Parts: sequence; C-alpha cells; structure tokens
Amino acid sequence: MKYIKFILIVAATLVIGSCSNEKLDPNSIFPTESPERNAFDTWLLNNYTTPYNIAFNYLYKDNDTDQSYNVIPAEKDKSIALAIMIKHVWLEAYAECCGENFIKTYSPRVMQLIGSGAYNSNESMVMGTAEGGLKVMLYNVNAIDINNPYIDVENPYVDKTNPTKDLNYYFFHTMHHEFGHILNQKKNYSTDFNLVSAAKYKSTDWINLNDADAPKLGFVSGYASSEAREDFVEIYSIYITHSEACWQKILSDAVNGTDTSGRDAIIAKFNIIKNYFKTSWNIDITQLRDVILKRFEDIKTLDLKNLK
Amino acid sequence: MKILNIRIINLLFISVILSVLGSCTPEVDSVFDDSSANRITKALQVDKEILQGAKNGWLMKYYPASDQRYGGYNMLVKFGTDGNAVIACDKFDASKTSTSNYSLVQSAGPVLTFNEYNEIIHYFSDPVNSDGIGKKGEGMLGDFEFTLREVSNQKIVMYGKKTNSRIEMTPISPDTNWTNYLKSIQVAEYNMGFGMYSYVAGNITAKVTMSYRSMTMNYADEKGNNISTNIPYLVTPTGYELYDTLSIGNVKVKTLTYNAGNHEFVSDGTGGAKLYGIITPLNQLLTGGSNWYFSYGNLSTFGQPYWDKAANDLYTKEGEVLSYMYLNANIIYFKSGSYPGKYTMTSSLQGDNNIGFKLSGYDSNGQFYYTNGYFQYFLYPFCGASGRSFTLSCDNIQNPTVIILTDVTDSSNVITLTKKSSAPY
Repeated sequence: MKYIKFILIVAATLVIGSCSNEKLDPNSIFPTESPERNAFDTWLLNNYTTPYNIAFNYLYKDNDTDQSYNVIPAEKDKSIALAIMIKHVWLEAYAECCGENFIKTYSPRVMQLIGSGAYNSNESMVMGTAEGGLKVMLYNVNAIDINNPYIDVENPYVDKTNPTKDLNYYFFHTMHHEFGHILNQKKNYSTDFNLVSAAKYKSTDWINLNDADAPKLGFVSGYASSEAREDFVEIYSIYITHSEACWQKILSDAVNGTDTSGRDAIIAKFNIIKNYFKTSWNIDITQLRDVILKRFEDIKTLDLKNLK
Repeated sequence: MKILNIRIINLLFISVILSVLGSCTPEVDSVFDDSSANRITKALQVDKEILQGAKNGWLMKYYPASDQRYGGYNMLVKFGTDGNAVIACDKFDASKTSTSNYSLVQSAGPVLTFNEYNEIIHYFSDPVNSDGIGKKGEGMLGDFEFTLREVSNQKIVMYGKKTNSRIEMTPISPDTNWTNYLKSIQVAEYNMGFGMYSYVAGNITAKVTMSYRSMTMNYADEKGNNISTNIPYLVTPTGYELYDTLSIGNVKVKTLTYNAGNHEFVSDGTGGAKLYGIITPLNQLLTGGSNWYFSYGNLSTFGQPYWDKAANDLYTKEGEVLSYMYLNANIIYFKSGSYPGKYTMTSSLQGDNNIGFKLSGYDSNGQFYYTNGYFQYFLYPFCGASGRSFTLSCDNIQNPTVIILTDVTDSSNVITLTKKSSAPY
C-alpha cells in the first residue's frame, strides 16, 4: 500500500513536471499547393491519378529507379504514346472485362518509365520489373515507333538476340506478366499447379532454354521453366496477349513425335489457371483475351500524338 | 506521529526533486532557425533563381565517367523559367540545340536533374552509346543528375551523382554567340590535333598520345620508374584545360595554350613546362600504338572480290560474320562471330612514306581462320602470299584520320585505313 502511494506520487509529479508548453508548427512541411502542370501532367491527373490512383512517372525519378543500372530518361512524345496505349489496352481492357473497381483496387500504384534498356553485366537486358505489386518499371520507351506502332500477336518466340520494336513483347506482355504476380499475391492458386511440371523446373538455368524449345518440355517460354510461379504468369500473360492460332502453334510445337507430355502439361496447367481466374476473380480469360486483342487492333487507328 | 512526519517530509522532498528533474526538457536550442524541410525548399528556390539568372546560359564543363576516361565536353545550358533547359555541346554540330525538362530536387542536398530525354546530354549517359563508345550497358557512363555544392552567380560547382566527377559551370557572357563559340572550339580542336605529342617539364620528357579527350603520358620519373598517367582535359578556343592540376617534374600545370606558329603549347604558372605537337612520318604512325581500321568499303575494286569470297565462305561454312579488323603496332586484330584472333606482321620502313608488310605469325584462332581459307583472302590485299609494299598518303599530315596505302607493284590495289572505329561491312 505504502509503495503504491509512493509510486503514484512519483508518476504524478513526473507527468505534471514534464508537460511543456511547446506548440506544434501549424504549417505542414509537405507542400500543399498544386505543382505546375503541363498539358500531359493534367491529362495524367485526369486519366491515371484521379480514376485509378496511379502515378505515371514519365520523368526520371532517382528514388523510383534501380541505381545499379545505367539508364536514361524517356522521351516525352513516346511517353505520351505509351500512356495512351496502356490506358486503352491495359487499364480499360480490365475495366471492360472485370469492372472498374477491380482494376482500381489491384492495379500497381506507380508506373516508372525509362528511356533505355537496363543491362546486366553480361549484357542481357531487363524487360521490366514489378516490386511487391506496387510499382512497374517499363524500360526501352525510347525504342517505341509512334508512327508505326507494331504489336505482334502471332509469334510466340521473339528473337531476343535481335529485339524487334514489338510493343507486345516489350510492354504489354510484360505488364500482364507482372500483374499476374500481383493477383497471385492477393489470392493464392491451387498448389496442384506446382505439381504438374514439378520435376522440370530449371531455376536460373532457364536462360539456356530457347523459347522455341520450351513447349516440348511443357512450358510456354524459356522463362516459364524457371519456377512454378513464373510458369503460372507466363501462361497467363502469353495466352491473353496472343491469338488463338498462336496458342495452338505453341500446343502443336509441344508434341514431340508420339510424345504428347509437353502439350498435356501445358493444357493441364492452363485449365488450373482458367479455373483459378474464374473462381477467384470471376474472370473468363478467353473473354479477356478477346477484349485485349480487339483493343490491340484499335491501336492502329488510335491518335498517339494528341492528348484528348 | 513523529515517524509519519519524517515520512511525509521525505515524500515531499523526493517529489520536489523528481518534479525538478522531470521538468528538465531535453530541448536544446536549434542550430538552425528553421526546419530542414523549409530550409531545403528555400535553398532550392534560391538555386533555381541563380540558374535561371544567367540570361545567356551557363558553360558547363562536363566530364562523363568516374575516372574521366573520355575527357571533358563543353556543354552550353540555358535554364528557362518554363522548366525547360536548352542544351548545346561541342561534341555535336555547333548550331544544334536540344530542349527538355530539368528540375531541382531534394535528394541528400539540392540536386539538379535533367529528367526528360535530351538528345545532347543523354548521349553521354545512354547505356548503348550511339557511336559505339564503351561496352553495352555502360556507354560513356556520364551523369545527368548533379549534387550542387557551391552556388553563386559567378560559379556553380557540382558533382555527378553516380560518378562524383566535378563539374563546374560559369555564366556565358551576354554578347557570346553559342554557335560561334562552339565552332571556335571545334576549329581549335582540329588545329591542335597531332598524331603524337611530347611534354617537357623540368628535366622530364614524356611521350604523349591522345584518346578521346584524355592524354596518356609515358615517362621515366627521377628514380627511373616508368610511369603512365591519364590526363583528362577540355578543349577551349585557345588550348587545353586539364581536369586536375598536372604535376610532373615538380611543375604544376592547369592550362596549356596553343601557339600555332611553332606547334607548341605553353603552360600556365612559372614552371615553363611545354607540350609539343609532333608531326610523325606516316609509316611510323601506322606501326605505332593506334588502331587503324579496315573496312570493305575502303578497299579498291582490286581487294573487294577477295573479301567477297572470304566473307561468303565464312558465313556459309561457319555461320559467322567479321565484326572488326584493325592494325595496331604490326598486329592485325579481328573478331569472327564471337572468336577474336590476331596475325603478326613484319614491317619494313623506308623513308617517311613507304612501308612493307609480310605475315609472320598468328595465334590459334588466327591459324584456324587462315588455314581454312578465310583470312588468306581477307589479308590478300594487305600482305598477299609473300608480302606487299605500299606508298602512304593521308588526309591531314598533322593529325591523320585516314591513311591511304597504294600498292607499289599494282597501283589498282588501294587500301584506306581509318582511325575512327568502323565495322568491316
């Protein structure tokens, strides 16, 4: 009892004594005034930031960029073209197929554009990266030909030693690939998927597997053979960004004489993926593909130079 | 009762001590009279006004790469109030400018960033340089973001964020015409160029060669040790300005001023050091330590059919393409597909302008490509089966960029070698 009183008195005097009268600065250290915006900034505010809460960084930002690579900023007119295209074939494709709220909820929050490629020390090129579902890096923006935007939906095996200016390979397939990871992180897929090709994943040795040789082993690309979660998003992103004929070509290339194990594996995994998107996200990926391909067609007639 | 009193007094005493202690706040007087956020905002505003204040822009002495291996470039930059910077550079056509966004941002101090693509400044940062300088993924390793260290109306000192190269800017006087200024630098650079130089400071004489805008000096110091040192520099309308103060033979030098009359460069300071431009006989230049490139387009109609056959066989039989072939110090270096190799030549020099070449050896790749019938054709115009002799001529005797070899016994065989790297096809 004695001690309790004693402690109470000590506590009370400490509390009273330590009250000081210092006032907080009423002004925030963060500027609250709107920055100066050019026409493109205003367009981005109205088409990316306000509806989707996406920061579309067309200017180089050091702290959103991987400093271990030597890169350069993006050209403005090419950034404008890419902003218009991504909105049409990516954001609005998901909005059309899965509802506005779906893409508003799950889209990455930052898209950082980079003018050049990012090269590893072995001179291989990084296509794009996604960090924790938050940010997507898009490299090689300055390679876009805004007068002749080229999207190849028929060729499943792009020659990587001599990269074309194929927008599908550089940007859209990459974005769907990274977005696939984001969706997987939100809702996991059936572990049955991991078992289909369990013995055939090659880890870092995927780099030695040519895309054209991958189907016979049950993969849609060389990179898909690295591990199950990459396999999952590669099947997803290649399927929804290529034509049915291209998909059938991959399946027929997966047959080796009388050995159909490659094709069987791809189909088994595809069915799990199709089922996952239907049950977890209520997305019919064949319908999504049709919407994306139709929107790819639109790009030919889309005005990529003038903001509307 | 008495005991209780003492207890109460004790308690009161303790609480007084505690309240005195407790009321000591850890507050100390701020070193600065404002918050760091407000101070950097103000500093950026002041810096921006100074940058925009130079109405005819700033002369930026720009050095790419952390070791400044490519030397310095004169960049003229005008910072507009609309957020755009106009840039010109002596590396490009003197009248060319490129305009793009710039920003002053806070990132470990005030940082000037050229954050939108600009054809001129980002030439030096592009990981794949458009002239093939540097390896893929590196290019010229130039910065486009700079930490500002000293900012005044007279001078700005900043450091490349990645390279830490020191980059200074001084305001360009209002009556200077940008194009004329850059032209005067380009003309000076051409006139001051020699195939070889010699540098004399105190009792030391150094042999000097230039690569990009960096001198390589080779000399023996006082103790007789052989020293090789690289001196990056910038071209001015009157001479060379060195990145660091050069100190050889106890003589300190920062600038070298050219005297066209006697091909001499006079140093600043009192040490009396001089750089001498040397006109080198063509046959010595050709066998010296520079690369001289072969290409199909630079062969006469005598040599081209041999190259046609060799290139065709190489492609059909090996699936390979010749990616470079050059002469350096009596060795021909080449790369076929991904295989590099070399051929050693014996040269015989007569007078200043005559030279003979004969094949004297090869490495294992060289042997493969020779005995399988590829390089015996690629080399045929140059050294035949048993050697050839040539008369030499060039475009500019002071500093040749091409050397023309004319076969003494068959004047239809003409080979032009270029100093600038070029692909064989």
